[in-house]
Amino acid sequence: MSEVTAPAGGTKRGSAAARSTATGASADRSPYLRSSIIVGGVIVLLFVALAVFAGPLSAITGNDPYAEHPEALAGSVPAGFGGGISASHWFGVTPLRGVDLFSIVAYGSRISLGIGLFSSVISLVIGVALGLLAGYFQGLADALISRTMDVFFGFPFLIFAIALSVVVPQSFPRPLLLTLVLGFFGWPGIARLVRGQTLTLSKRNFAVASRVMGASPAHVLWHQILPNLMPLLIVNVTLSIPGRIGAEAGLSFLGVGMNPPTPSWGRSISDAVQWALVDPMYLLFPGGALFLLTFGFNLLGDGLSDAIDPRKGVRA
Amino acid sequence: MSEPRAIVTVDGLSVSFDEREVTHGVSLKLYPGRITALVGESGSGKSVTAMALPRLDPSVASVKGHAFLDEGGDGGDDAGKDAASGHDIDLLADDAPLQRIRGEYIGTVFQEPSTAFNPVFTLGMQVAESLKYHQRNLSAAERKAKVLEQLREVGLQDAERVWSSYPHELSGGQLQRVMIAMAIINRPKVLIADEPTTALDVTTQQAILKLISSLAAELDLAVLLITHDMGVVWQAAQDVYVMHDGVIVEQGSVGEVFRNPKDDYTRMLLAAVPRLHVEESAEPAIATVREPEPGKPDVSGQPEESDDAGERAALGDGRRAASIEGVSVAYRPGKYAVEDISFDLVAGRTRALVGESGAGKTTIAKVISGQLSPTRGRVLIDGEDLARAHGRRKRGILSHMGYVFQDSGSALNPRKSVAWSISEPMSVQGGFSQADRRKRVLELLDQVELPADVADRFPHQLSGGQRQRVGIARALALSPSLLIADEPTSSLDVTVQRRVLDLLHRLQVEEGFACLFITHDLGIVQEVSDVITVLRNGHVVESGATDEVLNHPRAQYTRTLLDASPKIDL
Repeated sequence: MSEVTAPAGGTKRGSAAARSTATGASADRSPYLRSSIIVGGVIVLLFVALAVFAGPLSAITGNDPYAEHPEALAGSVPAGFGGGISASHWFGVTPLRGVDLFSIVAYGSRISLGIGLFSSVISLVIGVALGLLAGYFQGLADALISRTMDVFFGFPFLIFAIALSVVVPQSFPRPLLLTLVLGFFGWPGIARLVRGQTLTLSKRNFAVASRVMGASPAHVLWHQILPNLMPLLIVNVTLSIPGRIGAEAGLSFLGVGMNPPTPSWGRSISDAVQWALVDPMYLLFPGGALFLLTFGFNLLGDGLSDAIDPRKGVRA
Repeated sequence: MSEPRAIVTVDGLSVSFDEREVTHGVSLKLYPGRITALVGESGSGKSVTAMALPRLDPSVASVKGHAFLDEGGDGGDDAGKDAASGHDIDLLADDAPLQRIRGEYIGTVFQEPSTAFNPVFTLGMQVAESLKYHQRNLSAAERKAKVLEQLREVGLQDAERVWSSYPHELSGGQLQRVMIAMAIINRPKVLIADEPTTALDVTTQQAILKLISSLAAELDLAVLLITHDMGVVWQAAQDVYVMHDGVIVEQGSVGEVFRNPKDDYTRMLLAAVPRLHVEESAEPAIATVREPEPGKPDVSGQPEESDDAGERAALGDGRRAASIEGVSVAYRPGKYAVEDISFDLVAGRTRALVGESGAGKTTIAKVISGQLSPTRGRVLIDGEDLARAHGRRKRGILSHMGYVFQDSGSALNPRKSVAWSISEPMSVQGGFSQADRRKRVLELLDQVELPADVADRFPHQLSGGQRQRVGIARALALSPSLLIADEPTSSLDVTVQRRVLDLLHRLQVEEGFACLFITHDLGIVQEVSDVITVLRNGHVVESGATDEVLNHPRAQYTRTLLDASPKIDL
């Protein structure tokens, strides 16, 4: 009898070989070098560059987001192709007033990114601090924090934000107000996540080992629990930023976000909707920018979560 | 027909994952009515080999070689070898009748009975399921009758209750019996038992092994028993194959291999097994003198059977590192997990805390290490009451104590380096400079016989034995006067266990700490401990000098434990 190889095993071996070359190629590379992270990261970095260099980039064509260019208009509608796209107005101009659209998108990215990032940081700090406390100190602290979270979850955020923008004096800087509102309403999601993880991590043996050494709760939380939360937090924050950028745009769209004439994607989109049939390009550029940035953050977040969680990486 | 014919013949079986061969040309034979053990340490390829027969190997594995199952029965006359081979079933053929092979020819019993059953179905349904596919013409009532009969056969007398129970309602031993019932209900010719008793207590283990032995004899079943435990092999098997790194290094009858091992690896494996030696002759005399009423647990609180004088002599007059005084712990009011426990831990001496699962061993360790406050009684560490101390004082008391966990892999933070983990006790106590800590880490690594470059690695880059050494190094970082070791070797292979036990012994001689050694293995107890405390259901059943207790047990329960423990006596 010759050597019998079970054909079923044989085909399996074929696929195993294919897999081994696939993993072999990526084995010597970092798990972070995956297409979703690279593409998402490049998109995010492009927008960061756009926000940082909004001034110089707009200045190339001698524009700013406030100056009106009636000469680029034919009546109230932008003259020429694609909403007035030309060498001096790369994205065209707005109808009615003829403001340079590229400047609006560039300066608007400062607002979007700034509010998205800083409100995430506020939510993260509050959420992690309260989540750790609630998860580690069972009893009163947990009950208080958890019930507060429930209140926040049940609270109609939009109505609160609209009411607040009416109450707060106009002199209060709007970007700061939006950052604070989004930041303070965003923490319960993170806190709930952190609390759950802390509950399980604090019962893991390495946390018990620390307590047996006589370690203080601060030591256990800082050295044993927080480092194990990091991957989760990085992914969670990355994935939450696009939601916040969208929320800012939504509030501005509703007229309770950024005040005119401050450039903002949300308000531009809101204005552009009324011109959508006459001048569709006015909607396309701010809308496209919003789409591309949230898409970039989502890709980055998904990629990071795959790269950090080895089991997810295998499945993907 | 003088020589029995092998029912399963495996020849040159190799299993590989991703082109990497993990077993190399394994050949073995199984005979009806005999238990054949396949023994080896973790990673030796024993499970992979066995699971390739019913083709339960992971899908990425590829299998080469031959494995034939002799359908026997109709070929049992003098037709001769050649004709009989016509009835052979090629287990590895791609058109092998898998559904018939699994269940009808080969039954399988898995290691962890509590996870092998589906928690949302009754056990009756799950056992009956295998009848549904193999004996299709049975009505529902016939199936139930058959299952009940089978459950009784494996020693579950209240079969009706088992039929309608869910897995969480039965103990591990009962579940393993149900699993065996499920495996043999279609009367297979072969039973593969993959570490069937590893998750069970010794007394339960003994009962399950007895059951498998009697089934093998009654049903003429060929059993392939996969295990890492030489004691189990000695207790249950007739033939043994020793496997190492994917190769069968030795084979033969159990008596022959144990008495006269030819391969170096077998010799090392046998030498590493902690042996339990008891003077059999002394036992019966005492048994007749003091026989507690059977079935009645000792609930009197005071150790009923204790050898105070012997215990004091064994402990010597060293410094008391800790004393446990009348400690009781109730998780729920009125229900005590442990009740009225008292003993001393003396510098330079080891006390073994022995008992089956649920006896309260870990609860006591938690009380001593300050994770739990005793409901009654007190724990004095170097004369100070731990439960009354808080903050800095508690930290001060705990600095005299080291704790080694059962599985150091889980007790080391996966995101911190080994050096960080070992120096953690020093960071917690404070007062050590960075350079001091680093110096001490290297010193400790040297003490536990690990190379210095381990310091900057992470736990997942170490083997189980290395991780346990790191755990020991961490426990010793502050030169404690008391070391609590909670089953420190139960997750390790025997050869690694041997080295870790030797290490602990050497360190105790060097450092002179008192040690509380928690274990369920009486073989280890005899090697490591000076005094022993036997626990059952939260009560001390017996305590005394180790040799005295093991050789002349006074409590019935201690004797039961001793009888059940595998003893390799040649």
